[in-house]
Amino acid sequence: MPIEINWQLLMPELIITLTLLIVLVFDLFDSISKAILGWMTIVGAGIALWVSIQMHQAGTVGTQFNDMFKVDNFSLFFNIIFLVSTILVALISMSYLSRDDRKQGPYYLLILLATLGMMLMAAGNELIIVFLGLELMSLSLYVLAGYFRDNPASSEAGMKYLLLGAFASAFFLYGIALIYGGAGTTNVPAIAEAITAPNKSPLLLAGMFLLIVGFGFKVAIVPFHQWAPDVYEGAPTTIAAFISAGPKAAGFAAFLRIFMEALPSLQVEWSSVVIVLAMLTMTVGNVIAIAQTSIKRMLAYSSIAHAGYVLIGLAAANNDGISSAMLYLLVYCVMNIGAFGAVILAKTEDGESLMISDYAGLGLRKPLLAMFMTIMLLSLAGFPPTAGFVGKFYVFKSAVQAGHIWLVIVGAINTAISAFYYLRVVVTMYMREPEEELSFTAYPSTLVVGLVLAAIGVLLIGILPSLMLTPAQNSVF
Amino acid sequence: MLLSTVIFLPLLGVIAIALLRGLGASAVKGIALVIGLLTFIVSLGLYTGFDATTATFQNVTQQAWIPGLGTSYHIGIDGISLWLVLLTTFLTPLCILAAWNSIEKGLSGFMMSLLALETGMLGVFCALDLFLFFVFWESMLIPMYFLIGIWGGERRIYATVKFVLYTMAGSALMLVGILALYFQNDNSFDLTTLSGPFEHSHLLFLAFFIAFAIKVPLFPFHTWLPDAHVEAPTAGSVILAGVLLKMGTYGIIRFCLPLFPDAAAEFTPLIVPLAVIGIIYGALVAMVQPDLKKLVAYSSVSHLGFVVLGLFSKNPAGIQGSVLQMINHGLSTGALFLLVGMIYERRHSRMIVDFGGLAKRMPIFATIFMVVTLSSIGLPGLNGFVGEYMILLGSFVQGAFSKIYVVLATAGVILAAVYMLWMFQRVMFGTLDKTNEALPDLNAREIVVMLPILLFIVWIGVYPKPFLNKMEKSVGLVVTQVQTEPAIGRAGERIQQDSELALHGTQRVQHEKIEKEAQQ
Amino acid sequence: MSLEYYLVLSALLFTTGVIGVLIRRNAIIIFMCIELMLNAANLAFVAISRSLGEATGQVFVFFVMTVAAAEVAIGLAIIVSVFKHRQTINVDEVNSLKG
Repeated sequence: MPIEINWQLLMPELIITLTLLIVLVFDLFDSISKAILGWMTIVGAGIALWVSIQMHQAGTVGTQFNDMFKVDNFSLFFNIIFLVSTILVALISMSYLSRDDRKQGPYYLLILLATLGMMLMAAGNELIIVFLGLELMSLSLYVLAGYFRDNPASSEAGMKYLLLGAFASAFFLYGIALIYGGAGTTNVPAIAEAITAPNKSPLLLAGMFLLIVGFGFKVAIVPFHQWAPDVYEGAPTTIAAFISAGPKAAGFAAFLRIFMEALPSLQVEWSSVVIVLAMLTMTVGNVIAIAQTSIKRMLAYSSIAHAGYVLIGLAAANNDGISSAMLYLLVYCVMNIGAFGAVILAKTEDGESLMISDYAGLGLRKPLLAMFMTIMLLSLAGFPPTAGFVGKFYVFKSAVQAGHIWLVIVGAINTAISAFYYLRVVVTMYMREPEEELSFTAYPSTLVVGLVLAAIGVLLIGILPSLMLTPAQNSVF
Repeated sequence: MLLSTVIFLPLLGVIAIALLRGLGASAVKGIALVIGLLTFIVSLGLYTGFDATTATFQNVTQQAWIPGLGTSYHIGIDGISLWLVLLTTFLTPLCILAAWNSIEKGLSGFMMSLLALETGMLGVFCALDLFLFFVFWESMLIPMYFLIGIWGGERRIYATVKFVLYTMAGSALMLVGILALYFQNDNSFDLTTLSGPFEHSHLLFLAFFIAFAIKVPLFPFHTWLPDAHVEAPTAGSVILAGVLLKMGTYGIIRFCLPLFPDAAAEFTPLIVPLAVIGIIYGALVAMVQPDLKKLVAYSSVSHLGFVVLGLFSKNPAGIQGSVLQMINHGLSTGALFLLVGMIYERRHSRMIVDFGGLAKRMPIFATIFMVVTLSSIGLPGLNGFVGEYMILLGSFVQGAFSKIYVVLATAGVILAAVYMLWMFQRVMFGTLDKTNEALPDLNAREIVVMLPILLFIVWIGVYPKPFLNKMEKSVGLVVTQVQTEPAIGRAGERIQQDSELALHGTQRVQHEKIEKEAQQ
Repeated sequence: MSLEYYLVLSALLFTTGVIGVLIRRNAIIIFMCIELMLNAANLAFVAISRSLGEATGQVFVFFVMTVAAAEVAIGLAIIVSVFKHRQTINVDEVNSLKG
């Protein structure tokens, strides 16, 4: 039986595959400056991004490979999130790698592989595709987390991420097996059709809970979050930015797809679990973040808390819930990568500025850096007129619509708690004097470009949210 | 369009300063002042074009903004917000002028914060869309945070973080309230289409009221205020006392009273005692303050207690008095903070014990200080009297709460006289300390800052009619909305008549006084 | 034999794996326990596939085996890199990252 392939539908994935092959080949030639590899990544991801946007606007949708691979506005919107993250991460990585003279080829190759894995996860209409995408992404990330092999912290982060990530994958896989047993299929729409019967098989319920555990680990939801702070702290800062952004969005893409499209008939069961997890995740993430002295750990706990806000959208389980979760993920990726980028920008002669106290006095000494950091932190805290505010507002709105007032109250109180530790960094930058004068290295231009893009994105979505809100609302499957 | 210009002109100034900051300090100051004055001049157009015969919103602009969220850019003013807008545009250039020489580091940042703050505050007063209102409400926090945190005093970090967290805790609940209203308003955030009764109106009332009560600040939510005031730079204190606190009372008039009249009626017996406690407590604590700025800060708690008392009297006299008192407090307390700032710049101390006998060395300062002090006390002939008198009358004739509270509040007026005059005596009279002998009197710039405020202090005091006229219809609308519950019935009518009598009474008293003064 | 027996066995294997991950401290042993969990899932796939009479589950198993092999390759490489730094792969002793 010949398979008809509509190449047009696969364009973004094919472009990324082609790019990573080109990067792989060019890395072989020693005579070529390796800086070009980063630009290749950006150009490749940029073209894929442009194609994805075109496809999203034109509504080029359909399924491929015997209904296993589904291109719809949902997957295309997530492609946009992933590719934007990839481009920003590549921009902030270039100077970071070259100033320490790191090998660049495998780095960009793995980033592209991980991006491809994420795109497969978002487009997977069959649990096997989702699983393979997840593994492709995770395996690349394990290596990236341990990329600085000469640095013990990086190796340790790699090992922790690997052990817990593989553990989570096993849960996820076993969940798929049980769903397969309960529904008799692993095709997403077919599962939904198969479990319309009122008697819910215990296999399905057990499978559903195992999937929640698996996803919980991957997107760092409390109580499955313990790996995140260690990995963020130990991994190279650019990779911490990457792990906190795209993969989290990809995890939520699969989470949304499977739970909203395959398991809607179990919604009563899973939404109550998700509500509890959302409350726990926000509260634990924000409260522990207050106690952190390392900025990377603080951002790690903050990213845990942000997963909680996204879960609010999932708990709402209505159309606005889905699109608000998507918008939130997009906004979150941009602002979080921006915040990590600002951390990289704050490098001094003595090394990276990793303690919050290292930022004392930057407000007047390094106004540009302090301004970037402030914009990102205010957005993370959800102050208008930044994108973070719009994202949070929309998520809360969808939950109120679904009647989860208490969830929103907990979320709103958490926003106030989170303001405390985000503002503490701003306080340190603008209102405290440094203990010793620091000598900063020059601003690398690519890093500044990345940060400018992130800042423009954050402010533009904050002031004119319709730019991204309308596409997100059109992307519900 | 005019209104949008007023709101966003300061933001234009922010951008201009950001771009031209390289030109030096005087250019930055010049731009800020020109923009501030320009905004005030443009905002006068709002006054001249204002139609006092109607309670509907004027200068309305409505434009699609985020259709996906059901919100639009919808602004307009009525007789209440008109005055708060004018107060804001009036005080900001004065603050810029007052900060002319006192900011040593990061001048451009200071001016940018001040102007951004102005846009935020104006937006709050003009927004007719709940989402827009919340956006301005929250975004105004950031510049205020920087103003106190960077240019503030010793404990500025503690003060600024406390200020932001208090406000955010309140607004978190208000956000939930706004969202809940949205779904009861045909999926729209439009304020003008909101009409009750709403489900869970008690919870909604509380969600809004607590946010506003923190801002006012109503006892027992006031603890952030003295810290913020004491640590803030002079301009920050003026804006904080003059305008920011009014956002709380404005919110009560705009949201709590007209939208949830039944809940407002039910919570009145709880809120009024808090307001009266605030009046007495603020006055008593102010009395024992050794620090001038702290004294003025606690006097704010007391004055704002009056405003809340007047609002919950729910009759025209009380509410008009409250709105007028908001303006009065903005002028008098703003002026007091400016004066304290001027003396602090000279002496680098705000402790009352460090002064004494200043009247001899600084006669102009002493004279202005005297007028402002008397205005703050509520001396007839000056602005404070009109507002307080109307509030007390209004609350005396109403039937919603016991008259004992009004009597107690009157005691607050007496206490105010005690602490203010005692302070004045200790600072201005007595023996002049050696260290203070060289203090120069006010210079021309400082006099220019104070004169406009004095003008209004006297104007409102002797002829408040134009002020009351413009707000009359809008206040009347609020009164009819808040008195919709049938329980009042005939008693309500009586109250209405009484309060109208009271209104006329006030005006009569004013006229008599004017005549007397004319005779003299 | 009915499907239940296979599923119970697979559940037992999976539980053994989970307990192993949670109580053993040697990274290699933890890794082997994770493999056990994956193979428990494989067993479930094959058994369910057989009882349903369709091939999806069996195809799934092939992919899982491939993925597991890749995971082992990467995992061992990372563990070796940690061992070079610390001379130990006891996960309790490898804990320099703490807040």
